[in-house]
Amino acid sequence: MSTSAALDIIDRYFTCEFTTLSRAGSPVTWPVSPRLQADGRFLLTTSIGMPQKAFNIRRNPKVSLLFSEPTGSGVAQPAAVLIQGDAIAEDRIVTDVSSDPDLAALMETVSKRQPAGAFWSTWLGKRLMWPYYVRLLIYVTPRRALSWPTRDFTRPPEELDVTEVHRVG
Amino acid sequence: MWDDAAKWLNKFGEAVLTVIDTNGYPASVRVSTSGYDRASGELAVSLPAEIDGANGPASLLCHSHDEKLWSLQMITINGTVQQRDGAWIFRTESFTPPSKLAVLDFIRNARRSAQKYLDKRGLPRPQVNWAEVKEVQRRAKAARTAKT
Repeated sequence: MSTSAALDIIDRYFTCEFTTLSRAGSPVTWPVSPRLQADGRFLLTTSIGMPQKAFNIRRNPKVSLLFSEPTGSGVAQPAAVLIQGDAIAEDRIVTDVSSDPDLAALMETVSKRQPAGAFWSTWLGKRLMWPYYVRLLIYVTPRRALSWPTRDFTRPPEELDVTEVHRVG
Repeated sequence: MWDDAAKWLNKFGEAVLTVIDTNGYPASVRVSTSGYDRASGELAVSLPAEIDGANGPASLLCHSHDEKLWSLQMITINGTVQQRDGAWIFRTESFTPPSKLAVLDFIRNARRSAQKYLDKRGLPRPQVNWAEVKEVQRRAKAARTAKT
């Protein structure tokens, strides 16, 4: 699988399965929507109402992201990409989506893909779930990248050149 | 003993298996859930050698969303993986089926955790820049409209 095909999967899949490690060393996996940046790092965010990802990363930075869910992506030939890397979870609390261009782009992409998510900024949504837009930023630096060109996980994965995994254009 | 877990796994058909590799990094693959044994809580799984998985903690995540990234569903089963006679076996240790009031639980827990996060750091509740949120939504809506 070419790196550009893998980047297409990363860009077009709505979610990936993001894993951090608990205090006890067990994997904890959530579906999340990340954005690959031009510098090769992935940007993710989590509400301060769901801070466990950040707590886990501050104890142990080792994480993984599996892009394996093609629903809604329009990808004709679904593949899968696994990224393993080291994460940092910032202490800074972000409440302004325009404070960082990549964050603004990520929020715009999620908003485009999830029209019903606009509920969280309605009068009722703000009252029910005030922490939704009170967020922590997580950055993942990839260390290893594997791909399954036909999404057949019984086949051996192909190793990708991790230095080529970054947003282009 | 693991009837609920079997029921939910059957509903999804496939799961994301996450193990820890020998370098200490998590690694995930998709596995079929069809062979799950409801009595033992065991599932024979395929784990490529390139993953270099280690015996130890593991989990199964099933999740789904629709074409508009809505109707979200997810379950998690915690357990371990072990290599036996060259084959990998996931063994269930805990499973809590999702509550019928999952959305309300989610909101209640998130509000509580958020307040605790702020209190622990002596921070007031921060003000969200709603104008920028609306601007992002406006651009997203315009892009959706232009696409159709």
